[in-house]
Amino acid sequence: MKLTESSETLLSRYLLAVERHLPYQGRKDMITEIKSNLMDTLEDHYPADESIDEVRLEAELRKLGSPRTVAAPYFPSDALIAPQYNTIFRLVVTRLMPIVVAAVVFAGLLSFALSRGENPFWSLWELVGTGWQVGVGLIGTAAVILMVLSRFFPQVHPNKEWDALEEDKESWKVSDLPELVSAQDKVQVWELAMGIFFGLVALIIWLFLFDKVAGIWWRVGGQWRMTPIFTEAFKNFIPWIAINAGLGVIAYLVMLWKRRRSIGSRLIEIGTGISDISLVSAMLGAGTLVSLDKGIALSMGFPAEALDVLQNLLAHNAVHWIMVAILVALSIDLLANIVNLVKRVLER
Amino acid sequence: MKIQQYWYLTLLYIIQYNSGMTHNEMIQEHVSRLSAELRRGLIVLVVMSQLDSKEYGYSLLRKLEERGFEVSQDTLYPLLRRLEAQGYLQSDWQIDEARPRRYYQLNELGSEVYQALHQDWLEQLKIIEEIVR
Repeated sequence: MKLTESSETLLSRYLLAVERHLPYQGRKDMITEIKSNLMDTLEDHYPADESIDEVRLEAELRKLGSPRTVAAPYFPSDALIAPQYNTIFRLVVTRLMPIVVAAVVFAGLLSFALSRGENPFWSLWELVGTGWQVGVGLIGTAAVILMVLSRFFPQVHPNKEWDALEEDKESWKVSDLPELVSAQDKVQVWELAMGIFFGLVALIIWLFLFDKVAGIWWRVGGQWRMTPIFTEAFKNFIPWIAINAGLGVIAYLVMLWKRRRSIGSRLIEIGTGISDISLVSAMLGAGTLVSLDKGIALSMGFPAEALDVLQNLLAHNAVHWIMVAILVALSIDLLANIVNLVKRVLER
Repeated sequence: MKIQQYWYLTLLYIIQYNSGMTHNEMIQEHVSRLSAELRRGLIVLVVMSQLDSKEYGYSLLRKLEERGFEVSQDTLYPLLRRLEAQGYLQSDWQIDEARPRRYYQLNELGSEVYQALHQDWLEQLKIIEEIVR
């Protein structure tokens, strides 16, 4: 078997293509062996004095497959991230990423609170976007690094992940197993996380930014303007409102910690519910909570027609009826929480 | 068998039925696919059984073919390297022939592992023969 000059070139190009798809580690050795085996095959298929031209060699190479398919089995795993890197990737996704995102969100909220909204690191919407970017960026970066390591160094501890699983198989304890959670006690982590995030945002607004953002906003002459509508009587209730919002966040944190509704979290929810009902009842008897000064609003450029509509609503006790509706909804929610708590206690 | 595999087989049946295959051809295709899966589990045992003496990739491939055990090049060659990486084989390049060839042979650990594996296989075979009558 002899190769013509053109078939020699074809063979070299084919092997170069295979080499480029092989793992970086040990690549030279692999390609030498692949070439040796390929030449053995050709020698076996053709008599010693027969010449193999480009066309016949191409037919032989096609039987082997594309360079990529020839190289692929030399990777221990065809997964983008090799099994030995799974543990690291899982740690990044389930532990590191939530911690870093929580730290970013906390830093953002802290800067918002400390600067009283004047000069925070990010606006609230930017904070949501930054948290998302940091989380996805961290996962993506880890994936890219581990994919590169899997591609170029597939032989590094190829059995490590398996060994880790073996260790895990031996070392588990009954006390580590989670308690069974009934359908009524089940919670969704993402719902709780959202509840905590928006609860903290609400707390910051109530405690630090109320005077700046609470009112009616209108776009006048290309600029957003706000006229305050809440009276001092309403503002007197802000500490109480903030305490209730804080209790709500605590209830979510307890549920997140326990990964379920517990009797403790239900008691906090009921306590918050009673406090909410008392608050709304007190507000109903506190006189005027919302008022609109038409003169100031007109001087700030608010449209007179819109002001008429708002004043009409206020004149017909709209705020009172909204508070009554809130009171009814809170009462139903409280009743449901009490019934559920009693059922859970009786079941035990 | 997992539910996905049933779906896969059903889909395969529909495709084959509509592609004009005869029933026997279709059965044969199923059998050859499942048979390949069975062989895949035995390749390590079979390859190790042949490596008490030095063999290079292509010579081993031909040896197995001659004995009726067909294995593809892209399965055998990387497998030899994997068995070496796992510490069961030793290899060396011999450059005194027409071209450099890498020869593989069981090392001490590999021989012991193969003996134990072989024994285990014989026991499994007895059990399987009892089950699959």
